[in-house]
Amino acid sequence: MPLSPFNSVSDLEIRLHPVPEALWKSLSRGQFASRELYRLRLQAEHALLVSGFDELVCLDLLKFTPFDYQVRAAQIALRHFRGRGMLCDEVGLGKTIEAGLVLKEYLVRNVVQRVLVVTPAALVEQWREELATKFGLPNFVTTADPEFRAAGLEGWERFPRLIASLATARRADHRARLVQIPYDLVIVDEAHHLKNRASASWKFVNDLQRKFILLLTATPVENDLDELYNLITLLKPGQLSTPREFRKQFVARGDPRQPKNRGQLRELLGDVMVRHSRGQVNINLPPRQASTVRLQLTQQEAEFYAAVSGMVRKQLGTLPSPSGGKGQQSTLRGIEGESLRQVDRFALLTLQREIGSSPQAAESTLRSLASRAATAGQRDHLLALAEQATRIPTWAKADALEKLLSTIFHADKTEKVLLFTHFRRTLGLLAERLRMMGIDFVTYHGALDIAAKQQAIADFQGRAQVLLSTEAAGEGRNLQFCRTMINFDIPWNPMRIEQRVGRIHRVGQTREVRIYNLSARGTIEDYLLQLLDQKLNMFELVIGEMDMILGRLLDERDFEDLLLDVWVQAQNDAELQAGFSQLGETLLQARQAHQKTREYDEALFGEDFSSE
Amino acid sequence: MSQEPSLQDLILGYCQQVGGLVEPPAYGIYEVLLPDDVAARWGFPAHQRFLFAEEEHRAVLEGSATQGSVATEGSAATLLHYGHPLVETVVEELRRQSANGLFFVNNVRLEKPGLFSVIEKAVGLPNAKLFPVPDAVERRRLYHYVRFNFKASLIADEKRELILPIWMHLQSGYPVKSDDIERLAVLDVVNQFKHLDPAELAWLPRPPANPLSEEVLHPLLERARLAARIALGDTLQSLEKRLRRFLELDHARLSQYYDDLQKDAEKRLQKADADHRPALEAKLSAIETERQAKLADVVQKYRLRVDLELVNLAVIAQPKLDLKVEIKKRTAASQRQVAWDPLRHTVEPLACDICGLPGEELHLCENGHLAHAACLAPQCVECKRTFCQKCAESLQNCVVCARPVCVHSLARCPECQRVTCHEHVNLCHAANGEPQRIQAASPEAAASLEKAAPAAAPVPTPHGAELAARRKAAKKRGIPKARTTSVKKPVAGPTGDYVDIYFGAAKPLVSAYVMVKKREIAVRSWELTDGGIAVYCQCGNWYCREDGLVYRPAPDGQIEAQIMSNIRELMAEYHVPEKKLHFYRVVGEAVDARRLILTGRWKDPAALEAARTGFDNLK
Repeated sequence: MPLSPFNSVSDLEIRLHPVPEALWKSLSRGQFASRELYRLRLQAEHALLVSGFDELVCLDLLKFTPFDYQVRAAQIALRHFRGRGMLCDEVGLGKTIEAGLVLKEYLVRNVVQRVLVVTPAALVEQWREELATKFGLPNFVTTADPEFRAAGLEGWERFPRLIASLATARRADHRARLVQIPYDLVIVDEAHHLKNRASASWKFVNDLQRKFILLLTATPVENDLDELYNLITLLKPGQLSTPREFRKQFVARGDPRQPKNRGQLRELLGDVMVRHSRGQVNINLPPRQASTVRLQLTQQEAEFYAAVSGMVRKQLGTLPSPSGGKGQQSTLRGIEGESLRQVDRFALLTLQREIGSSPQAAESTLRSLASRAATAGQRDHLLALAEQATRIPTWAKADALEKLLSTIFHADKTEKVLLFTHFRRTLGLLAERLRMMGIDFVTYHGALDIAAKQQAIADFQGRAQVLLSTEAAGEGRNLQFCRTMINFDIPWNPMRIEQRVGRIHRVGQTREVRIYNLSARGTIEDYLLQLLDQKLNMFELVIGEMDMILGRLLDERDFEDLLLDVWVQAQNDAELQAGFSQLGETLLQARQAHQKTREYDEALFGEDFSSE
Repeated sequence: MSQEPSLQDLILGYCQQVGGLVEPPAYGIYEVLLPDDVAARWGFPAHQRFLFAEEEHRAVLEGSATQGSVATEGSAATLLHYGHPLVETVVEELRRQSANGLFFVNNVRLEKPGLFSVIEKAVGLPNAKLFPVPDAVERRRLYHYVRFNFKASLIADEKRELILPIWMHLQSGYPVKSDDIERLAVLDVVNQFKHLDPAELAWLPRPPANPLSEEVLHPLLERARLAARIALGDTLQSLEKRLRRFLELDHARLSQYYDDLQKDAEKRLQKADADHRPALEAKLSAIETERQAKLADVVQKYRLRVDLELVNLAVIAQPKLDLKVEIKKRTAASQRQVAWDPLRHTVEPLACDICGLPGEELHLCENGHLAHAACLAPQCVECKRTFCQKCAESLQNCVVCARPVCVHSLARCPECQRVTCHEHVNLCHAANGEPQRIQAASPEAAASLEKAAPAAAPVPTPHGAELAARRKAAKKRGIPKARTTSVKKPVAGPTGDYVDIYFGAAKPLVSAYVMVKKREIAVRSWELTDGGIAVYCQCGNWYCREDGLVYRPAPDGQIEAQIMSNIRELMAEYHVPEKKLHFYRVVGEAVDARRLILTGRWKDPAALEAARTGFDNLK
C-alpha cells in the first residue's frame, strides 16, 4: 500500500529513549524539585540544543583551533554537499582537519555511528593519531591492531569505527564483507588513487554502501579529465552525466586534459568540490634551512658498522622482501646454510638502523637475534658483535653533536633545541652526554605518562635548553616556540622526518627554522640524506608534498624496505652509489610529475572552488 | 515559564540554588560567593566575579577611565560563555538531576450554578441525549496535568533538536493544548486544596490509588509519545517535504544516469555479436543492480527519524468540579463523569473510547461506548444501529451485497449458514451453491467492514445480465480520448481539496486518493488485469457507477492518456481543480513525480493485448 502524506507522519518512527530509573523513583516517592531548579534544569537542556549546521557544535570539543577556511570547508561539506563531497585543498592546508571536522560534527550530533576511513597504508597510523589527539576520538581501530586481526573478517562488522588501508580493504575476502555493511560515513584519503574506474580500488569504493562520503585529494586530475569524472561519480553518480556525455560536453576533442564549457563544468563541480590554495588562505610560514653535519666514524665504529652491515646484508640477501620487491633472491642460505625466519627481517632492519644511531643501541637487538639463532655459530657471531658494541670507547656522532650544540649556544644562550633520536638506548646515552656538558635538558619519550609529558614540554618552554626526544614528540605536540632541530639519527621514512620538522615548522612559527642532520659517512643514512636533501630538496618542500611524491612511488611497500633493498643488493660501493642514484632519479621524476600535476590542477580549478 | 535560555540566568540561578550568594552587578560584574563544598566540587575558587557581556569585559581589561576603579579593585572578572569549563560543569551537574516539578493552581473559584445545563450544551451527542443521574452531586476534586518535557531530535542527514513540552490530562489520558492554562494559571508550590480527593483515572481499567505512580505515568508517557507525533506535525511535515525534495532530486539524477547507461548498453547489445553478448548482458544486469543500490543509499540518507528523550516533567494539580451524567438513546446508555474547568471556564470534552482523544461530538454505540464519527464501524443497513470499531464484531457482511448487517438484524441461512441482509435472504446459495453477488440497489452505503486495499481486492467477476449491462455501458463509452477537461456533468457531491495519485513498477496499479483536510474521502484504483482495466472505488456513495467496471485498454501509447482521463473524471466528480493533482511514484517509499509515468505491464504490448483479448472474451 503506497504511502500518502496523511499516513507519512503517523508512519514515522518516533523512538523514546529509556527513562532513567531515578526519575520514576523520585516521582513515586513524591520527591519534587523547587520551581527554580525545575526551570533551571530545562534551561540547562536548552543550552545544549543543536540546530542546523550553521554553527558547528564540535568546535568546543576540539583540542586545537582550526583555521576559518577549514571550518568553512566543513560547513560547506555538511550544508551544501550534504555529506557527499570532495575536499581538494592544496597540499599542507589540512584536508584531514576538514574531514575530521565533518566527522566529529556528525558524531557529536549522532547522525553517524558507523565510520570507515580508507587511506594509503603509510597514513593509517597518522590518521589514528590525528583523530585521537586533535578530535578527541581515541576509539578508532585500525586493521593492523591486534583486536582487529584476532577478530578476522568479523572485525569489519564488530568495530564501528575503522581506519583501513585501501590495499587491505579492497582484497577480495575483505571486500566481500565490507560491501555488505551499511556505513554511515566513508572517508577516502588520497582519493586520486581512485582515478581509474576500471581499477579494483574504484570499484571497491563504488560498491560500499554509505550515506555520506568524503574524498580527499590535492590533485583530483592528473592526466585526463576522465579522472575527475570518475571521482565525482563516486560521490554523485549522474552529476556529470554519463562518461560519453561528459566527454562530449566538457572535454576538448583530441586533448583529454583540456576542458570546454568551463562555466557549466564549474557549476556542476561546485556542488561537490571545495578547494583552497595557499595564496587564498594566507598561510605563509617562515623558510626552513637544512644543514647536514657529516662526520667520520672512528676506526672501531667503522669496523663495527661494516661488520654488522655485512651480516645484515648476508642475512637479508637470503630472505624475500615483504611485498615481493624487485631484486629478491630466491635462494635461502643463512650464515652456515640455515635460513632465518621472516620475522627476523624486521629485526635486521632495526639493527641496521640502530648502528646508524649508536653502537650501543644495537646491543640488545644483537643479543635478541643471538637467542633465536638456529646454530651455535650464528649465536656466537651475534654475541661477539654485541660485546663489540659495548666496548667501543668512542662515539663520533655524539662528539659532533657536542660541537654543534656548543656552537648554537655560543651564538645564542637562549636558543632552544629539539634533539631527536629514534632509539631509547641512544636517548639514555645522549642524556648522559648532555649532563656531562652541563646543559639543562629534559627528556621526552613514549613511556612517560600524560602529566610527565606535559611537564617536560612546560620545562622545555621554561628553563630547559634542550628537549631530548624520541619520535613521541614528533606526534601531535606543538613546539613552535623552538626553531632549531637536530636529527641525531635520520628516520628512514621521509614522512617521519617531515613529522619531526612539522613540530616546529608550523603556523605560529615566526622565525626561520633551522634543521641539522647528523650523518656519518658511509652509512645508509648518509646516502639517504644526500638523496633527500641534495637531490630532492626535501627540506624545502611544502609540508605534505613528500607524502604526495612518495605516494606516486609506493603502493604497498614501505620506503624503508625500498631503501634496505638497495643497501642489501649492492655488492660494493659503486653498486651502492648506482642503487641510490637510481632511487634518487625515481624520486625526482615523481617530484617532477607531482609538480606538473599541481600546476595543471591550479590552472584547471584556479580559485573557483574556495569556501569564500 | 519562559523557555528562553539566558546564560546569566542559568549560571547565577544555579549558584543561588546551591546556596551561593550573588551580589547585584556593578558595571556588569557579578560577585558570587559559593559554598566551600560546591567550590571544591566544581574545582573553582569560592569567590568569583562573573561577566556575561563581551563589551564590559573589554572595558574592564583595558581599564578605561570610567571603569578604572573596577579594574584596580582586585582579580579580573571571568567572562563566562558556552564552552567555558565552569558553564560546562554547571550544565552537567544540572543534567544529572531530574528536577521534576509539582505545582498547584489555586486561583480558581469552584462554583458553577446550573452545571448540568452547561454540560448539556457543551457535550455534542449526535445520536443520544444527556440526562442527569438521580442523586448525582457536583464534586470538587483534584485533577492533574502532567507536562512531559521532551528533548526531540529530528535526524536525517542533519540533526535538529528542540525542547518539546507535551501536556497530558492525567485523568482523561489525552493531550491538551496548554496555551490557555499557561496564560491563566498562577502556579503555586503550596496546595490550598489539600482536602480535595484526586479524581479517578477514566482511561485505565484498574487505576491505582496513587495517580502519580509509575503504573499511571508509564502508559501516560506512551500516550505522550504518540501525542508528540501530532505536536511535531508541522515541523515534521516541512522537514519531510524538504527531505523529499532532496530525495526527489537525487532520485531523478540517479534515474536519468542509469537510464542513459542502460540505453547505451542496450544499443551496444543490439549491435553486438554472439561472443560479446553475454558480457553486455551481464553489464546491463550490473547497471540495474547498481541503480537499486544507489537508490537505496539515498533513501537511507534522507530517512527521517525522531528521538525523544524525557528531560523532566511537571505535575500541575488543579481543582475542578465534576458531575456524573447519563448519555442515553433508545437502545443504549452510559454514565460518565464530566468535569468543569473553573480556570478556563469550559466543560472538559469527553474522550473517545476508541482513539482516546477528546471529542466535541461523540456518538453513543450500542454497547455504551463513546466514539468519534471516524471511530465508528459502518451502520447496520437494516436497523441503523451504531457500533464503534471496538464492537465491530457485532457486524457482519451480507454475502450477497457485502453491506454491513448487525447481529440483531442479520438472517442466517439454515442450509448454508451464510449471513445475509433481509433483502437477499435465499440468495446465499443461489448461484450453484455459491452466493449470488450483486451490486446493492438500496440507498445504504455498500461499504465493507474490512476496507481492503485496492491492491488486495479481487477482480470482480460480474455474472449474467449484470455483466452484459456493464459491457454495453463500457462499449458505449468506448475508449476515452485524452481530454484536458471532463465533458461529463459533475455529480453533485462532496468537494475534495486535492487528489494524490500513486503508481509504481511493482504492480500494474494506479490509485487515486481524494483528500479533504488530509483525510481520504474516496479511493479509486485502476488495475491492469487479464480481463482489462478493472476499477475499484471506495467512495462512500450508495451507488458508485465506476466501482466494479472494466475498461478495454487503449492502444499502445495511449494508456497514460486513458488513465489520466479517468483521473480527471474523478477530479470533476469531487470538484477538485486541475492544479491540485499530485503524483507519487512508489519506489519502496513514495517519491514525488511530475506526471503519471506507467511502466512494467502497463507498457508491455503482450500484456496489453492479452488484456484486450480478455476484455473482448467477456462477452
